[in-house]
Amino acid sequence: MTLDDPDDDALFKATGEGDQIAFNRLVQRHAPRLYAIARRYGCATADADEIVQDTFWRAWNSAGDWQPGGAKVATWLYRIAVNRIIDHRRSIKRRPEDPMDDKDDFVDAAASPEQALDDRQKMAFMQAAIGALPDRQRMAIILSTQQGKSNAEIARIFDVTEGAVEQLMVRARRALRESYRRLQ
Amino acid sequence: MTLQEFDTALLTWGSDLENWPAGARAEARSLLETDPQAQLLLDEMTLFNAELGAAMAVGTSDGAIAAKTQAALQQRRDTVGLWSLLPLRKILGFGSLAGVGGAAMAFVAPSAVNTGALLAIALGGGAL
Repeated sequence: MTLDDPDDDALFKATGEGDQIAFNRLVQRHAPRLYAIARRYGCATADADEIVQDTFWRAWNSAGDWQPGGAKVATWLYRIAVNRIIDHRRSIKRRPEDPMDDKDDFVDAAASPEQALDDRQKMAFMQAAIGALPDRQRMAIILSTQQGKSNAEIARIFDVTEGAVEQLMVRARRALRESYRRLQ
Repeated sequence: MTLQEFDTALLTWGSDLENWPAGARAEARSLLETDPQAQLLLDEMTLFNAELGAAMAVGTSDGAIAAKTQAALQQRRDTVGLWSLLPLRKILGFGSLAGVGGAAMAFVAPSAVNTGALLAIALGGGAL
């Protein structure tokens, strides 16, 4: 990090002193990632918006009490959002998940119609397999694959041991790989 | 490292060996040099990770999400700010207290029923 690109701790400290610009930079840096997790976890657009806003609202109101040296700011933000996302999905479990209306954006535009259809089907199949995982496995695989988090970082977000996350990852990847093999 | 241990390690840390602990990485590299089955497993996991990554993508504009979040938070701050400045808040707080007091007076001092009731209605009622 440079002076032009201060780290999260510096931004959060400034936020605690009432610096709204610093807070907005934290929002710019993390809100899209938290939103992407919520959407991939199956939250509807409006629910994902609300979860992200609630997470940062809590951050804004807690910044004045924050002391450096504890959990990293990003870990803390992820922890709040992840718990809210899982709770939210549990609370509406009977309702079908919101379909991702933007997934077509990721099909190769240069692909033939047959290939594009095949890509869409594969993607839908894999998304269904991710959606069928138990809560923590599903969140762990999203944090790892979509967000590039290491097992150690995921452990800090979940507030569990790294060994516990490794077990989650093995189970999640094994289940998804089985689905993937059936797809081949 | 056996092939089965290698497979479990792939499931634990993924297909990028750089993300593996140094000891396991070294053992995996030795195995990859000698066992073609290990290379097949690694290749499969690499493809699988790519498919999984594509399935995880969310097509939204980062800037739009950040802007929407900032606007919503500003609205919340404005609402809280207005509420804290509102003089009516103090009046309503006083009204509730006076209403409870008036009702209590009416209960313990029957001769002051009319006064207590009037106070309760005039001040407490406004707060409800």
